[in-house]
Amino acid sequence: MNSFFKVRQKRYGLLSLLSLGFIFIAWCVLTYSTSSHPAFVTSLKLPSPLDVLHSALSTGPKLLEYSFTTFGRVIAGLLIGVVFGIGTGLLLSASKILDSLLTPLIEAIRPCPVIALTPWVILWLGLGTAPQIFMVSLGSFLVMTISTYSQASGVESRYIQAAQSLGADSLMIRIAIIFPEILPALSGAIRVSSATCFGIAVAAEYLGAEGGLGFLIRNARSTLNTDTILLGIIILGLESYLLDKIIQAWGKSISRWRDSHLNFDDTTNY
Amino acid sequence: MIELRNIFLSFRNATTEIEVIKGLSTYIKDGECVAVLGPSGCGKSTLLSLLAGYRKANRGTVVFNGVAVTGPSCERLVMFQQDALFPHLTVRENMFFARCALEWKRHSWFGRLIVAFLLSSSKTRSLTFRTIDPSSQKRFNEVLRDVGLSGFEDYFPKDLSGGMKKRAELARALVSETHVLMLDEPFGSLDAITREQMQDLLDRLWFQQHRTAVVVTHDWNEAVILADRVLVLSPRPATIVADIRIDLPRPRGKIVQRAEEFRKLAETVYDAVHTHATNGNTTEQ
Repeated sequence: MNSFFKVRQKRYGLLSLLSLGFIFIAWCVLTYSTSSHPAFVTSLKLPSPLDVLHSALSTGPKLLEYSFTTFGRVIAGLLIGVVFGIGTGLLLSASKILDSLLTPLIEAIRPCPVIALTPWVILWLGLGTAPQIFMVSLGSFLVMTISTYSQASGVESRYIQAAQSLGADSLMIRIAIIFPEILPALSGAIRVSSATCFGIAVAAEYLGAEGGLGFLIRNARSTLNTDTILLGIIILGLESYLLDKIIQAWGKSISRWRDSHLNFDDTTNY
Repeated sequence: MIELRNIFLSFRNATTEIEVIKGLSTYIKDGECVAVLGPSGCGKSTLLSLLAGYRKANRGTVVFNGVAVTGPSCERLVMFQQDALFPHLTVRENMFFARCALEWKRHSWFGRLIVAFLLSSSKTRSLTFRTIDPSSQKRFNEVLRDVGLSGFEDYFPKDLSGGMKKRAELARALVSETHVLMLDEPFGSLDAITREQMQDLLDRLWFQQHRTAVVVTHDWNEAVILADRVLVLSPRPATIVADIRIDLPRPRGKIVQRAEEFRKLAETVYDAVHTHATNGNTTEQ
């Protein structure tokens, strides 16, 4: 049975490679040019793969540094936001007073794009890494608080009552029962907010930072170096994909108690 | 000893007020098993949640060992109709949670925080379990053998059958050292054979050890098999309409169940439930 699933999985993996390959070939065809035959799309509008590769080589070690800078900011911001978000969500679900004090505030901040706060964040925290991480963590904090709160209020009351009659108090129930029970559902929310975090990090770098892929894209934009812009976008896509895969794998490892064995994308051995 | 002193309870919503329990007084002695029987919707489960402390009466008090009940406590453990095993914990970890909850009050707030965090992650949980509490391992194995779950200690609840979940819950109750076991239609969702096995198990591990229990049920046969005393409730608002002693030898296996006395008692209980059920209905109309 297991090997059957694994074969299926490999096939699906090939399928997803296929779609990427198709886009790559289309890209090559659209930008292919010889001395006698101009490309379908000018290299300014769509740089060819070779142009992008060339710009990657010419940017050199700076590119590696920028990639790591952005990735590091996203991970740091995401971690801070997730930890505080889950903590706040659990607190809000535990206390009616805190709930009525803080929820209106959070609901008021939530629809406002975090990027709109950039001028203030820069005024208060200056340029550099701290304000970048702050904005990223603020973005994930809000998402995580709301989803933790709603998931925690959805935990079935019989588990809470059973824990109470075993002698557990509210603190023990929040941390040892509700938190691990909603964590698989929260891993989905973390995936969603990680994508948002990349957006915020790049936009924040774009608006005012030194270093990072957003900074690279902004500089390239001022000289209309579309190949470098595309390079930055591709690296961002790869980083976001990698982070998403990491979170997905972690989410799977913590939901073993919940998932059925007869899952098509199950890779654990029973 | 549990005493119910003149309990009144009603549910209120925006427009109506429903009287659920009206002037109910009784007592449950230590080591006694009391079955609460009554028509559906008469407030049996509500009565149990009052005893457990999940709910407060409008008037009257529940007194447990001389102290008024103000909230849930580890001395009174409830088993619901649906199993309430924590789904993210294995059978053994569920039992371990019960032990930790029992010792919870002894820790300082800082110790509590640490224990709670250690319990929240699967890796630290098994580590804590192995290092901190080796003495209870032996006790756990004994209890697991008693309930017939040896070999399933590392299973998650989702991988257990309905009867095994009940056994696991009983095992958790046994290691929690609770004084009173309260069962709310515990075996309603089980098939006939499994139900019989569970009644047997409960009889052996709980009633024959002379430990206190309250069983809410709508099955008069089950009430007579399990209880020392059957309380029959009237339709809503609930009051006690019959208090029937069951003096049958334990264990109450097939031989006892086929005896004349058993049949007579079952009939008495049946009659008590049915006369009052119809009476209540006519007065309501």
